[in-house]
Amino acid sequence: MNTLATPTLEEIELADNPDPRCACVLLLDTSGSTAGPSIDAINKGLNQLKAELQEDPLAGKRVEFAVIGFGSEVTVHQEFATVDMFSPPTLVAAGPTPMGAAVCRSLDLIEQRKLEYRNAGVSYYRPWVFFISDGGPTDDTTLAEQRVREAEANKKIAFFAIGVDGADMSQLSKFSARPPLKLDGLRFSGLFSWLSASLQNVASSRPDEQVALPAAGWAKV
Amino acid sequence: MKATGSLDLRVAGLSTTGTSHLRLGMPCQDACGWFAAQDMIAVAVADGAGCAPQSQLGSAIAVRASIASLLCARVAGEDLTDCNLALHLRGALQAARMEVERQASATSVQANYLACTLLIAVGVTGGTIGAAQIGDGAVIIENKFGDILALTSPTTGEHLNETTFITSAGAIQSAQIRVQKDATHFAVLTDGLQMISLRMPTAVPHHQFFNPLFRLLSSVSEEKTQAAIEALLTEKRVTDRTDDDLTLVVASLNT
Repeated sequence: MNTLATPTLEEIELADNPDPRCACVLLLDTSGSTAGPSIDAINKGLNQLKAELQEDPLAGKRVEFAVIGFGSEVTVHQEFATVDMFSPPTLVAAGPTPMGAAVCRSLDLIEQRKLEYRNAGVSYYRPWVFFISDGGPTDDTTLAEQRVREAEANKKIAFFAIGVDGADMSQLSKFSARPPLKLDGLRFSGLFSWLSASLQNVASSRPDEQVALPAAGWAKV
Repeated sequence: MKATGSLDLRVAGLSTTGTSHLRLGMPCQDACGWFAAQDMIAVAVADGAGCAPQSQLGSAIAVRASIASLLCARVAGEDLTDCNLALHLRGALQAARMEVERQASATSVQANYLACTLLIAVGVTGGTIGAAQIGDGAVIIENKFGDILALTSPTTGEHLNETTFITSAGAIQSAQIRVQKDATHFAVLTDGLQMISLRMPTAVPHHQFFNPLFRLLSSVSEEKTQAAIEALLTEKRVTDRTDDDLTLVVASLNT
């Protein structure tokens, strides 16, 4: 054996690739009825989400958040950003519930981001929409429902709907084959903890179906 | 099935549990195995689907059944070169799928509970190599000119975490099956190593990842190469980039 030519581990170079991304849209009801403890708990939850994900270096590089609030208007409070660049907005409750327009906006944002990923040669996981609402829509949701159902059927996105106290659950169930869950009281902290844990795992697993929402902890069975 | 029959043919490798699996208390869902005869090496590697409840069993069964199929062919004196090699590789995929389905049926679970990817590579002295692949991961070869190429490459959909499994409809019909001549070395890896050994998304092998590994296997014993691969897969610079189960098997045909 020619030991003079024996390579060492240090000679083995790792390929340099951009980190794969998991895009997650937080689609949050900021209508007037959420004023008070509900909007406060959501604002706190956004900060909790950032803090928890910052503790996971791999998730920190891979997960990207966008935040859309819908109330007086549909507003993109945060364009897609990784955790270190994510500035949790302080949401203010006011106005009606333009749910249809908001859901459509979230899907547009995701399609745009995917195009940017493809143009940059960045691999990506199936994006998530995480939708929290406490009421019923005040606009037409027909198109939004159709777009979400088609996107889910074609495995383009994973859409999770969470209803807060007072939410029209039958309306939420029109968006997705996956049944919406009802938040138990104001257990937003448990909800956001579940979200951060799931986002940490999504990059590690290879689901045929997306991660199942747990019944225990923050959701009413 | 790790006995090596010849000094000229070498093989070494292993699977390690991903840091995310350790954190979640999940088992290693990767499996690997091989046999080496005087004139050939057959390697099989499988990666269980993350959400499938028994995928670690599926990947173990798929590896064993595909290796057993090739061993039977070898013992029966079958010619495992050129176009016959492609036929036997397809046969090995079918044997693996049948065994996985048999296990599912015997325990009254759906076959996709044992879903896994499967990569098989057979190298013959003289330099012919064949590979069959369902799902992601890759079979990488070095040829006699020193080029390092992907013989098979990851099958993914639009999204990184979606691929075909051995239990998927049409999996065998759509499997990649390739035969190439003039190979001197090959490597088989699961998707956990894709981002650090291939330039994605085109899946071009990173030369300076594979070349030192192939030279190492040709220079030192299989045991030392095995230890080096284990050290590599558990290095911080690797686990910082990937928390998935990792499998890497390298082989030398010494042509």
